[in-house]
Amino acid sequence: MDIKLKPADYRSDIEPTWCPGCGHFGVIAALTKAFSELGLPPENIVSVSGIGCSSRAPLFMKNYSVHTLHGRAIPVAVGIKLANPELTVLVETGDGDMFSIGAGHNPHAARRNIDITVICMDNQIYGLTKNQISPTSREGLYGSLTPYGSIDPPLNPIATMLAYGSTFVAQTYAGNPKHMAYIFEEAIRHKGFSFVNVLSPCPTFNKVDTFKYYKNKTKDINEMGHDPADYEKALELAFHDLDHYYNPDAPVPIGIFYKGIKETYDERMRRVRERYTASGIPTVQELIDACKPKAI
Amino acid sequence: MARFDLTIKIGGEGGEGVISAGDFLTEAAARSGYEVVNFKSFPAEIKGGYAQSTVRISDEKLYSTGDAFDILCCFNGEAYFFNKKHLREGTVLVYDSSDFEPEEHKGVILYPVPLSELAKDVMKAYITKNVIALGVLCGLFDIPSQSIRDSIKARFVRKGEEVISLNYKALELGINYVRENLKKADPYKFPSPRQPKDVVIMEGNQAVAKGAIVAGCKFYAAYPITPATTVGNYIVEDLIKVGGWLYQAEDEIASLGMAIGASFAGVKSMTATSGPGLSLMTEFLSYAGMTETPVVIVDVQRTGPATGMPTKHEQGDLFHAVYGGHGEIPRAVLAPINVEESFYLTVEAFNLAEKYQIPVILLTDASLSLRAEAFPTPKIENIRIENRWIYRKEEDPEGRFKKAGRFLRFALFTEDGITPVGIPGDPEAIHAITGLEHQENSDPRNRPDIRTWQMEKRMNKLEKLLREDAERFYEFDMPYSKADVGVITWGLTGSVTKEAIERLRSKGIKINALYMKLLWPIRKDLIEGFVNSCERIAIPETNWSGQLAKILKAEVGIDAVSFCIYRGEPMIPKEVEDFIDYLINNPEMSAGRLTPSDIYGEKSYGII
Ligand SMILES: Cc1ncc(C[n+]2csc(CCOP(=O)(O)OP(=O)(O)O)c2C)c(N)n1
Ligand code: SF4
Ligand SMILES: [Mg+2]
Repeated sequence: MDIKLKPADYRSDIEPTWCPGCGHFGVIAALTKAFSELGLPPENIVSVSGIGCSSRAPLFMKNYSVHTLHGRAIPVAVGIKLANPELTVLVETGDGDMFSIGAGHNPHAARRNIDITVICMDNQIYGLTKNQISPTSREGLYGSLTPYGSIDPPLNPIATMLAYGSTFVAQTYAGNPKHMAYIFEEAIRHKGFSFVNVLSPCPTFNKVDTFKYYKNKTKDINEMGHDPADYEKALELAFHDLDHYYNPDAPVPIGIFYKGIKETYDERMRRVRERYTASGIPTVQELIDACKPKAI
Repeated sequence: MARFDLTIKIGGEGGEGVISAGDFLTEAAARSGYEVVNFKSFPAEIKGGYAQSTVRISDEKLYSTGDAFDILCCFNGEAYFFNKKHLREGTVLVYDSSDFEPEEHKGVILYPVPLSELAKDVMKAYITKNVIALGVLCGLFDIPSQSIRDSIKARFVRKGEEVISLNYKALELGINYVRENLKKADPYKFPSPRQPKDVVIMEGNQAVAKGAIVAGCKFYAAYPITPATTVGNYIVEDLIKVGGWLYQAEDEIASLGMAIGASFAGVKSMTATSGPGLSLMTEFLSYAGMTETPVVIVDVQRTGPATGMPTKHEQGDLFHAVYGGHGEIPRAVLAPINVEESFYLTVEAFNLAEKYQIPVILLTDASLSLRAEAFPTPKIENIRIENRWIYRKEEDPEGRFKKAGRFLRFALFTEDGITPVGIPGDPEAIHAITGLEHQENSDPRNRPDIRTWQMEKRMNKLEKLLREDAERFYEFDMPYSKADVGVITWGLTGSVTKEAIERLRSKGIKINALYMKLLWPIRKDLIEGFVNSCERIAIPETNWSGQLAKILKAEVGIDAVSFCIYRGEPMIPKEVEDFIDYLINNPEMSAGRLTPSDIYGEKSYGII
């Protein structure tokens, strides 16, 4: 790249269909800023998403976009990455998409350290289907199917992804554009599976986890001295000290919980390939001829 | 008619080497220059249970493993129990006399051999039982023991010289046992070797794997499921060697999603599964059609519904393959009738997927997956490979596929609906794909005009397929201008039917046949042409509903008599023969459905 592209150059000409004040606007603004900072050519970026308000994000950006099925962004992204490891592959998803219907895919992409970046726009609600509780909704939240106030304890995305073996786990907040862009940049730069949970309020349906609620509540754990290499401490932070999912009065942690170095899946894949082809690459005809009944 | 036609069936407990004994006989036949088909079945249990391998050898092209056997070799009493009703006058029974003694069977030639005792007491290795039995078969029927030795060596080369020489010894033991203890009392003899042909021996699932490699498949997403797993087993190392990869997914939803992702990235990709997996894949099937993403899905059908009988045969997923999924998508469904076609139709599945940018489903089944055949070695240079139309700026000087700087992945102006794909990495073809209805530049749209035109773009691709690529998948065998009966078949039942038809014709029955390898889309005119050449139409299928008959009724409007067997085992030629005979004897019947009970009496499941 001779001339660095500006963030706006990564935006498509489609106007987002999001409600005014939706947190997701900030997410794509920060994401395009990160692309620009990293100098990524748009043609080498593939943004993959599921279904949800959040999952529309790829369509608003200028890169290769794959808007898949509800909950299925990760498998499609894995297929893309393995087919062409040179591409920068992102998953742009929502709390429902990723932690409800698509939750079965997370552990496997994470533990195998597939080199993709997963950005979950966590509004603790189902936005697109108009106000149902999601796996990250706090107890007591009113959804259209839980008019009595949710009785479900929420899932902790940070702790979950740490346990699954994600080699990069961070949280950021849609009300903090600078922090978001910084975290996205780090996540994309990270070699291996990276997960970023973005607290991205849905002002239309979630009247509890709002920008107002988060204001002055977020605490940058790295500024507070947390070392991202410390996995044990990361777990502790996620589970206890700063778990605002269980303690609404606790500060809301943002920053990099964990960043570990581990060989990526495609690196390991390449090593296996080298082993298999060390003594030469057979022709396709030879692979067929291997089925002849051999006389010794 | 064949001058030489011999069927040897080996039965015993799973894990006792029944299957490898059959494989070795198959190789012996191929090395001796003969046609050979081998049908194996495994027990559903991991260990134990009844396993069998039936090897049929002939000097002429074989379509099936026939109705029964000439020689039965029983490794235990259970194998005898399952097969004794097929012991006729003149058949041979070789059996493990240390395990059981058979009942009285008139005219059956018996060769008792204490297989287990010999293995345990003489060889001191029970695992050599199957090779001792092979030695016995060599001694009795002149099977070339050198070929068995070659097979032993090829099979055990990695296990070392000791294992090889142990097995050579076991083979000798069997041969000598015959010389010293048995007197030949039957007429069966392996034919003397003739000029060997240039053949390969493959199992059905192996043929699918090799076909995919030839087609240029570079990504395979797998989730284990019987009987499809072995497609992956067979392809994994070949794929790595040619620079591809097999990824074991977390479930079948993911496997099709991954295959679609890899295809979007520009790589030919596939997945293989069985009925339950196809059900899970159905949402993505719809998505592949909507986004015009080429992908191949192999469904090795097994007995359904639900978990059904996982190791058993059925042709029960045709409706699902043809009509399954929400909304309407363009798709093609192919089904091979034998192993050789499993190879070539896999290549064709990729070709159709690439050319038309559609999902293609290849339907095989549990029995075909385990059938081995010797067939002429495919020559790569004679196989046509199709690749998708990839956008290149230099080929589009007027910028027809660009508008306001956007790439028109779903342009509406090509006559046949096919439009070039853009591959990530190309700055000129940046675009999105989405399962939402979309306009030419991929943007989601709900407008009735755009919806109508995009539906037509997608669905009309099949019109071109019907024009250019359908006919070669219809195999007509129509010697009569007006046949008494016309048989339409698909899948494994097709190869069984071929044999039945030879027999029926030799009895003087005028019978035409159509073997459909492309089950969707359907060439109405070709079906009608065939139907007009016959008084009545008969469709044998191994499913409950008569699914092909129903599809042809719906799509072409023809009446047919279905013959439906749904016991989990394939039809045998004799049953197809009896079905047609039944129709000849009931001239008033020209539509409807028959089951074994109609032909053989109440509660019948057929005559296997
Ligand atoms: C298979 C399937 N089931 C249900 C839906 C309906 N659906 C669309 S989006 C959605 C929830 C999205 O929630 P989330 O991922 O949190 O995204 P948000 O809209 O909150 O950004 C649901 C249930 C669907 N599209 N597909
Ligand atoms: S419903 Fe909520 S999540 Fe969806 S666009 Fe509106 S504010 Fe954003
Ligand atoms: Mg949400």
